[in-house]
Order: sequence, then structure tokens, then C-alpha cells
Amino acid sequence: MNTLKSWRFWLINLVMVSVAFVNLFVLSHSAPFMGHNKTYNINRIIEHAHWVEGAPVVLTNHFSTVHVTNIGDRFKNGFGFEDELIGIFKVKSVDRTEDPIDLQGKATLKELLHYRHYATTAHCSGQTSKYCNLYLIWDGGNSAPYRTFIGVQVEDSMSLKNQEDPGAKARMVKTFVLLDSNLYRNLIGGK
Amino acid sequence: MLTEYAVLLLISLGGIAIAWQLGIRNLWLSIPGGMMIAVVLRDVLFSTMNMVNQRWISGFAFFGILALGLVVSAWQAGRGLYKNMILGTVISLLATTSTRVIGLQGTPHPDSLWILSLTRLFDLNGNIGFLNGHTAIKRGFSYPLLLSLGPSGQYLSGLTPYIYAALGCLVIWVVRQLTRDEARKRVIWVSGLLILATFSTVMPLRAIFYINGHTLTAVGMLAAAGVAAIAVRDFELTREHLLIVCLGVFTASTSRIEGIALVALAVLPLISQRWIRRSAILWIIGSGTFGLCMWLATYHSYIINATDLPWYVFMAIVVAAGCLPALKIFDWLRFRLVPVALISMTVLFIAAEVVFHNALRKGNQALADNLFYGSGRWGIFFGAIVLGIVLGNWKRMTPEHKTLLAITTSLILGSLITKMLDGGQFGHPTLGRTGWSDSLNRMWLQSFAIFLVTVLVGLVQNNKIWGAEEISKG
Repeated sequence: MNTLKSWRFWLINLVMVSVAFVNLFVLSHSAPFMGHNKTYNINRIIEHAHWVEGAPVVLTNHFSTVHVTNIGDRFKNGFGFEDELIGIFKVKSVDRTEDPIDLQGKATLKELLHYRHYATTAHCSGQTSKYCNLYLIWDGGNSAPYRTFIGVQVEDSMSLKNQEDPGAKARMVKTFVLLDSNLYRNLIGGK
Repeated sequence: MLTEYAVLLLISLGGIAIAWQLGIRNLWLSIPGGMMIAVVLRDVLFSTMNMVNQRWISGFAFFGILALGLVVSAWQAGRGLYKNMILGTVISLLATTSTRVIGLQGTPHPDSLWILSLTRLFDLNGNIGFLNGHTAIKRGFSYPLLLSLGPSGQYLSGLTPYIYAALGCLVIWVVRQLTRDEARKRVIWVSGLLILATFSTVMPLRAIFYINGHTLTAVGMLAAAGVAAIAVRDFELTREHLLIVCLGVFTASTSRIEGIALVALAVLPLISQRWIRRSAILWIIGSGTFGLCMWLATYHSYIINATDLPWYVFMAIVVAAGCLPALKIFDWLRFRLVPVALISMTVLFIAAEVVFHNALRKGNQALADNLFYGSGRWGIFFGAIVLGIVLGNWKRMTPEHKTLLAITTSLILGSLITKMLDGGQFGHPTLGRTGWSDSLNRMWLQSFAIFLVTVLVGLVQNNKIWGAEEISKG
């Protein structure tokens, strides 16, 4: 018997070549990897990624000693601020005992975004999406390396997750801010 | 950049040199063998130094041992070692160049960022007590530990493509061993077809630079599965093969949390053999249980904390329990382990599908979408695997083909069940969601090389495909 006369031989060839053709030219596919990378520093990679868990990393990238208050419980009225990352990236202290301060009607996100800020997302509850917007806002003119950030809630805004996925349905989500305590005092007073 | 070239080169050459000293001298096996030796050394040294709060020494000790192995082997060895060294050098230089010079990087993914966070902790010699939560344990041990050997504040970017290359070398070794009596043109032809199907698919390519422990687990699992098939065929487990299977079991058990379960399925056909020495069973199972316990103890894992036992008592119990299959009184069960495992997993899977049919409906759809309709970025690769298995040699099945088929079936069922348990432990069993980043979809990266070897062996051994009734000769 000859190999070329075996229907099984032709079937397996036809199938494998068809699989390659369909994979390459018929099915939609994304790039398997990316190029032009110049960032190898882990802290910078996380900051550039706008990771949903990345807030503790970004804060400690910019300030040597960071205290955070008014985080609350992410399964109730607060937002996520991951314990393991707090330890790894050495956030000095985190107080979750109080919910974020409600600034709705007192200050708008637009006003706060005049200051230096970093936009990201965080895990939260109490709405259809499990993601809330989270802004880290501080006074860029102040060079002090020691900062305290206070969790506050402002009016709902368009989900930042939608910007990552243009095909997704646009929706408003809860919006939290970790606000530099100096700014908080200047803008709102107290604390 | 130069630091990274030097570090990866030392890991590669030091591993190859120590592998040579331990009897792993085959060209293609030396790369994955050396890689797995580096994994064992790094894990054991770090865990030991962590016990005495001197983690900073572990990196120096690791490089010191590799350098010593390199010098001693270079002194003693002949030309054979230098061929292995040249291959290791070429692969490590290409791997580092691809990431540091060309700037290739993996697809961004939150799990990668978690792994890099763990890497940063190891790099800083930070407090490992922070890793006692549910998240850290899912990101593995060996892989972030090795990544942390990069320049200060950075990760060892060339490691990920190097591990992928080690997997490629291991596939070549396993295929050459399992098809040594087959006609070479059959092997080359089928290999060409499978390479075409594999590298036209996104996921196997994505694994080259994707920062996650899947490929390292795949190296361990293929080492264990490959040796199991070879040993079952030869009715013999050589010293070199025992070492490879132990290294594979250790590597898989310490790189992903589901690794120990999956690699256990891969070695079942081997430890269920009547001829295998009891000491070999102890070494194989002990490699997995010891590695896993060492990882859990180092991470101050909530799993150990939940038992209220000191880590060394926990380790002693788990390692001792792992020795039970080697006892003579359990031989009646050990000889039947493969069918027992396959039947149990099938029953468990079907029962879960019936009991949780509403919860699993969405997951079943996602699984089909991911594997057969392109959503998981596997294209129709698995269609080719299924057809390749169907067209394999079913009539006159050889022991090695039978072993590989049993392992493949076990791994499919095992992956589905471990995914169910991941959600099931919190009362919500699931089979995942649509998209490449679903954890079950990524888990296939751990076993796809074994599936490919199974298909290749079946097709090469099926004389009907090649138009010959006689058994082929090389």
C-alpha cells in the first residue's frame, strides 16, 4: 500500500492545513504579544497599567510615607484597597473603620481634577458594575514626601472601564477619590 | 541590560552543568533539566533562608551554587557538555535580546501584575507574612521567585521566553524518545503539521512572553508525563528518568496551586505499575508534597493556618500521607489507580453538571466558546487535537500511546474539576467565562504540549495513515 493512496493521510493533512488557514485568516485574533516595550521597573509597569488593584503602588511610587483613611468596606460603602499590596509596597497605615466621606454637592470631580491626579478603577459594591472609578489627587506644588490620603465619594461619573473597552455599554458608576489631606483641608476644611 | 544577560546566562549554564553532574546529559533534555534544577535550588534556598530571616543570602547562595556547578563541570566534562552549553547560551541570549533589545512583552493581564508585585516583594527581601491571603497563593511560588533575580527594582524579563524554549526542547526530547523506533519521515511530517496548527494559534504564541506560571507548570507536567510514557513502554525507570520525573513533579507543584493535582494525574500511570520500586514512588510523591508544603509554609498560607498546626507538623503529615500509596497493603488500589481516577473524575464531573446545572450552564457555553469558537484565542486548535486523537492508532495501541491517552483524558477532566473547585470552595462552582484570560482557558497552556505529543505518537504509530500494514521501522 502507498502512503499517497491512504485517505487518512490526506484527511489529516487537509485538516491541519485548514486549521492553520482558519486560525490565521478567518477567525478574528488579537496580537499574541506586544512590542516596543521600554519599561522593566515593576512599580512603573503597575502605574502605567492603571490596574484595578494598583492604587497602593501608585501612591508609594510618588510618596515615601503614605497614610490612608476612610477606605470603608468594599462590600458595603467603601472601595477596594488590597491588603497584600499595602504590605508589599509599604503603605504606612490604612484605616478602614470609616466609610469614604460623602462630598456629593460639596465638591465636584471637575474641580478636584485641576490638581495633579491619577485615574484608575477599584472594586466596590452596591451597583450593577463591580468596578468604581477611583482618582488619586494630590497637590503637585507641595514637595513633602509624607502624605495622608482621605477617601471621599463624589458624584457618579462615566465608567473608566468603558474607555478600556469601547464596545461596552456606557454607564455611570460610583466615583471615589483618595484626596491629599492638605487639599481636603484647603477645599473642604476640617480633618 | 547586561545584568540580565549575565543572570539568565548563569541560570542556564549553571543548571545545565549541575544537570550534567547528575546524569542528565542529553542535549535537548539539558535545557529543561537545568531549568528545573534552578527552580529546586531557588525554592529550597529561599525557603530555608526565610526560616532564619536571612532571605538576602538566598540569592547569593543560589548564584554561588550555580557558578560552582559550572566551574566543576567545565573542569570535568568533555565535548558533550559544551554542546549543551552552546544551546543554553544561544537560547538565553535570544530570550534576553527579545525582551530587552527588541522590546517584546506579554499581553497585559491583572494576574501578571500580581505576579510582578510578588516579584517586587522578593526583590526587596520584604516580609513574606504579607502573602498569607487568598490572592498570593494563586500566583505561584517558583515563577515569581525566579523573576525576582532581575536587576534591582526590575524583573528578569528574559526568563519567560527562556522557559518557553525549555518547554520546546522538552517536547523534542520526549518525541525523540517515544518515536525512536518509528520511521523518521513520519515523525517529521506529523511534527510539521502539528507545528503549523500550533503556531497559527494565538494562545501557544501568547505563552512565550505572557507573565504567568503556566509555562513553567507545563515544563514540569510534560517532564512527568513524558517520563511516565517512556517508563511504561520500557518497563523500567532509569535513574536519569527518576530524577527528571521528580524535578518535574516539584516544578509543577510549586509553580501553580493546581499544579500538584494535575502532575499527580500525569504520574498515575507510572506509580500504578507493578514493577516500579517503592522507593521511586516515595521520591516521586515526596517531590510534590514536600515542594507544596514548603511553598505554603513560606507564604504563611491560610491553608496551614486553618489547621492550627505548626508548619512542620503540617508538612510531616502531608508528606507522610503522600507515602501511603507506596505501602504494600495499598497495592490492590495502586495497581488500579488509573481507571479508578478516570471513573471517579467522570462521575464527579457528571454529578456536578447535574446538581449545579443552572450555575454551570453559562460556564459550559463559555468553555465551548473559548475552545471551539475562537473566543479563548485557541482558534480551532482543539478541533485539530480531537481529530488527531481520533485518527490515532486505536486498534493496536502501544503501551506508551495508551499511557499518553490516559494522561490526556485525566488532564482534561482534572482541569475541569480543579476549575470547578476554585469557585466551588466558595459555594459557586463554575467553568469560567468567555475570553482568553479566563483561568480555565489559560490552564490549557499547562497541558497543550502533552496533548500534542499524544496526537503525534498516535498518528505516527497508525500504519493505516501511512499506507503500510507492517509496523514501521526506523
